[in-house]
Amino acid sequence: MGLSYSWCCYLFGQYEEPRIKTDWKQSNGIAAKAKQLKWSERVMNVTPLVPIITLFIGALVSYLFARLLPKPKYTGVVSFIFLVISGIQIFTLRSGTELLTWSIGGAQTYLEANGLAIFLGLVAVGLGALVSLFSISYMEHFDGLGRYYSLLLIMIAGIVGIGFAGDLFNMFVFFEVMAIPSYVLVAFEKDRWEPIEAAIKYIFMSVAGSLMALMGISLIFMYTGSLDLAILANLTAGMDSLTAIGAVVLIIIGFGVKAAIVPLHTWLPDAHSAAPSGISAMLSGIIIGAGFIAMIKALAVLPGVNSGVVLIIFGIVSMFVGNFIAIVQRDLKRMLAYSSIAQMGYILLGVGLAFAYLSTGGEYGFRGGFLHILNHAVIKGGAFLCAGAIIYSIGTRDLEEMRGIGRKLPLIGVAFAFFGFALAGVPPLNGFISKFFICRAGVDVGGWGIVAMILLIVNSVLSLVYYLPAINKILFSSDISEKAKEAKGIPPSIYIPIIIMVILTVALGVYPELGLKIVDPVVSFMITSLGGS
Amino acid sequence: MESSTLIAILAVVIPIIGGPFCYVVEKISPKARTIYAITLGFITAGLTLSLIPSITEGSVNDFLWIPGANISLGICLDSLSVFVAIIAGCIGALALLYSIRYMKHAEHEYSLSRYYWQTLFFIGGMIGLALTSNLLVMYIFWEIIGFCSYALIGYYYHDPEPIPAGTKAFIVTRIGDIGFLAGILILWHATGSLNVFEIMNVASTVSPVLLGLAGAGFIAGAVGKSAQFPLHVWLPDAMVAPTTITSLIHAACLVNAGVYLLARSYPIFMGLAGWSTAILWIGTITAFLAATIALTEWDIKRVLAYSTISQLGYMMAAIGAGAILASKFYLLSHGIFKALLFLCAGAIIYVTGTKDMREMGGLRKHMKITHICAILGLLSLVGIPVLTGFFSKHMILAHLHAGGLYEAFALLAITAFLTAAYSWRMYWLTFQGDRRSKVKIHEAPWQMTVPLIVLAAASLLFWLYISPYTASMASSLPHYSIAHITLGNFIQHAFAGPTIWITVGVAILIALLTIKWKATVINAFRKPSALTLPLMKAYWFDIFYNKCVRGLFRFWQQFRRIQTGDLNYNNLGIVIGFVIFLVLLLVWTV
Repeated sequence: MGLSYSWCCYLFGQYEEPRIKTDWKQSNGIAAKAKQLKWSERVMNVTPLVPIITLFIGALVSYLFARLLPKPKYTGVVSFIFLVISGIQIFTLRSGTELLTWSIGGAQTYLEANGLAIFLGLVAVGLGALVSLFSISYMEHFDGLGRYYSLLLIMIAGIVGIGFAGDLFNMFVFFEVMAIPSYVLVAFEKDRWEPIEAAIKYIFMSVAGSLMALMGISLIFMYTGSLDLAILANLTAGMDSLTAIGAVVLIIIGFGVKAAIVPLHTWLPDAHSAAPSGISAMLSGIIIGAGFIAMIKALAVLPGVNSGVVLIIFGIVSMFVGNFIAIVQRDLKRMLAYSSIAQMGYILLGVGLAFAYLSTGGEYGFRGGFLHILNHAVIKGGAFLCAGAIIYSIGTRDLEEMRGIGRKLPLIGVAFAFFGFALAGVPPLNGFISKFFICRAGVDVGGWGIVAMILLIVNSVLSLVYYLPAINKILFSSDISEKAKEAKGIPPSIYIPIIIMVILTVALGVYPELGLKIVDPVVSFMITSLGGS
Repeated sequence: MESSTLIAILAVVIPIIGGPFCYVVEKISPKARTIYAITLGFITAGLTLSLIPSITEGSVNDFLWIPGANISLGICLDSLSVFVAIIAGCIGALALLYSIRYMKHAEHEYSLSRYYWQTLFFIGGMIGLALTSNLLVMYIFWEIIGFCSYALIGYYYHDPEPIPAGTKAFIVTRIGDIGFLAGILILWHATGSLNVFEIMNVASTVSPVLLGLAGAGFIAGAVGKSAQFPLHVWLPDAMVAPTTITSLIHAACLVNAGVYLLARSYPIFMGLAGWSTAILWIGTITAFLAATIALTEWDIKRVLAYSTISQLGYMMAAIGAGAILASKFYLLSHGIFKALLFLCAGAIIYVTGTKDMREMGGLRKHMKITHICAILGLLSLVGIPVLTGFFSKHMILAHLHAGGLYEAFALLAITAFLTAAYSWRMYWLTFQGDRRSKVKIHEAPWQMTVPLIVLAAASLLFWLYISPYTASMASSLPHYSIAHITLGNFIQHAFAGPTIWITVGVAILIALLTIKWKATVINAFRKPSALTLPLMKAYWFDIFYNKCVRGLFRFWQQFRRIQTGDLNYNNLGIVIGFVIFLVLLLVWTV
């Protein structure tokens, strides 16, 4: 709402000069920079909004394409094209220099293309593009494809917006722009009870969370009178510690529901397994990551509270709970879903270490944590697409009934093995190197950090305990199940995205610099915004 | 780039990158694929051999790999790494040659391209592990060979045992890897470097607590990979792999990695007194226990498997006693004669179609070449002059004796007698006595006997190479205080020292076994008695671990209760989370 209103104001020339009331606003970087910009420069700086607008236009075009043209199946191509365009636009943004400013009701706000925004945008758009390709054949027998693709694109626009938002309120709006389409997409197969039940659980828990997040943001606004992410960190220093703690708890819970921190994770296994596989890949690959990044952005404005410790503790709890329950699953998608909880645990641990001990564990904690968000998006996205390909072929999610499917669909089986090993942290695949950096943060912190590091490595081995049997069942089963014998072939639009994921899994592992190119700006951005050197 | 660096890179890259092309070449013809794979194997072997003239100390070339974290790929071409690479390359090539006939029967059911590329990957992984000076890269190759062992042990996946055995091998070795990886991270944090040589130079400045933790981690990694007690359980089960692969695992590619790691990191942890003692005793106890279990096995490959565990115990004990040269020399000679013994066992299995020694017997008349080669291999294993095994085992025992480590020396000397006993038992059951096999027996084809002859000759003659070997060790490893030994000195020392009496005793034991105690030893393990039951049950390790794993699974099952599926409970989770987060933050902040 806020965004669209202000954007309309902007378009129709009703732009107001920001009314800066107090002295601190003028003394602070971005607000001061915004004031000095001339009108012509503002037009130049519309760039951060362009990728988001592209995605919204894409949503509209996809919908019309599916409704008006005779072959709705190929809407996926349209959405793919828009996602690629949007990705190129994000890629060409120069970190830190591109700023779009406007004002809502007197308070000025902005979209900023910083390292974090570009990172999140690229991961979301990249994964979304592959999911669109995958959905061409996977979704061809469903009605309402226009809805599917337009909601997918709006959801991705929301994720991109979370990264770009320069203030807490717009970030929250984008967070909801991401969340609402995801509820609908989980329940996309509306004729079956399972997706509906899962979506209802997901909505109820998420809405409770969103409400809490909004309350936390309101608390901050109440005490500081500002929502500007760039200057809030200085302002919150004056807050009394109880209020600050209250705000932190509300923010962790609020965004933590999306990030699936145990004990807020219970919606995730149902939603991930009931959604169409492409959407599972999005949910698991980037939406929980985006929820987490929203949480990090909000927590970064309250450096006075030691929120990192909570993240570390619940990171460790999440990885144990996720892995333990994953071990006893028989449903492939549920297993992957629980594994996502564990993987989020690793990310929480890494970023938590960086938050709590910025001077020692900061560098490797952020590097490992954010690199793992990227790697997890690639691996888990790919793993869910593999699961989707198997479901497309034999129509079951039960691991027992998939016995020997790898011999019928060797490409999918081998790809799944790649993703399984990458998730279990087997080098030289990409899941290893990010965990390695997170572990380094643990050692750098020392003391309990070393214990946390050992627990992470133990969990990495634990995850092999369920991935290896799954790989064995799919690839090396001594017999072939009845269903697998009647497996139908896989069209190229399903296996091409999976092959791309496999290539990325290997490439990001063998040459991690590829991933670090977009992660290192995030690291420096996070460290500077938390006041480190 | 220097030519030696290029050769080292090619020796790793050719098998690893070239391997998967087996699938492409298979499209031309299966025969071309086999020739292609074997050619790659021999090229790799040639490349590793051509590294001998360029042995130098330290890290020769660094390529920046992850600039952000300042991690580079270092290559090291000292004597320690080059000879481990040579063993991997050469035995790998011979095993590939042997596979032509040995694996032919599998062609109808299994993909041979999978076999060949994974074998090449295995060889390349081990060469990479040996030739790098960067601990992180070493860990990566360490896991690559772990993956290869999983995939290759489970090669015959239509049978019920191989897949669980492969899975067990991967998971058990990875339990040790927890320690190895933690150790690498601690050293990286403490010294700011991942290069072994840089760490060696500053190791004395690291706090003893961190160094001790890292040292314990490295031991855990080596114990897992080199199948030492209590993580040895995967190795006997791994015998379900194709015999060529077991010979690679035991002689060239897998279990050597742990011993190599400890030898490589020895200068880092030299200052810690407990580190060496721990390795010494792990090795000694493993050597003894595994030898007792080997006495009871009826499966020819499992006898050899426990024998490997036992001999690896010798190598570990030697490292613990500070005898790096003796340990590495034993690693090389063991690699040669154990590969020989496994390939002999493979020839026997190929001909008789069984692994059970109770169904063999009397093979000496029909398999003359295999018989002679097996005798040479077993005598080398037992340590009879003038085979390589004699000299290398003698070096270890003499070092322990000279170092005053009498308890370990005594236990290893007893193990030498046990080794003689199980080797003799294995020999007698397979080659001597009556023929119990029902199939027609013939000699193995030339593709199988040629590798046998080469390896038998090597185990007969390799000790003659001692002078140049110790010279290169002495010149390229300044951190280890290794002296150059001439051949004359070597022979004199071996025959003049007190340990020669162990050899004499072993010879007498073999004579007695043949003349008097034949039936006693062979029949002792047909039925369990109070004395033999622990041995026949392999000291209940497997049973205990299985119980633990089952218990853990039951425990994990309990966690499913968290997931009730009831929305009210789910939202209760939010409330609980709220309270816990609040309490934690209040405790930490206020």
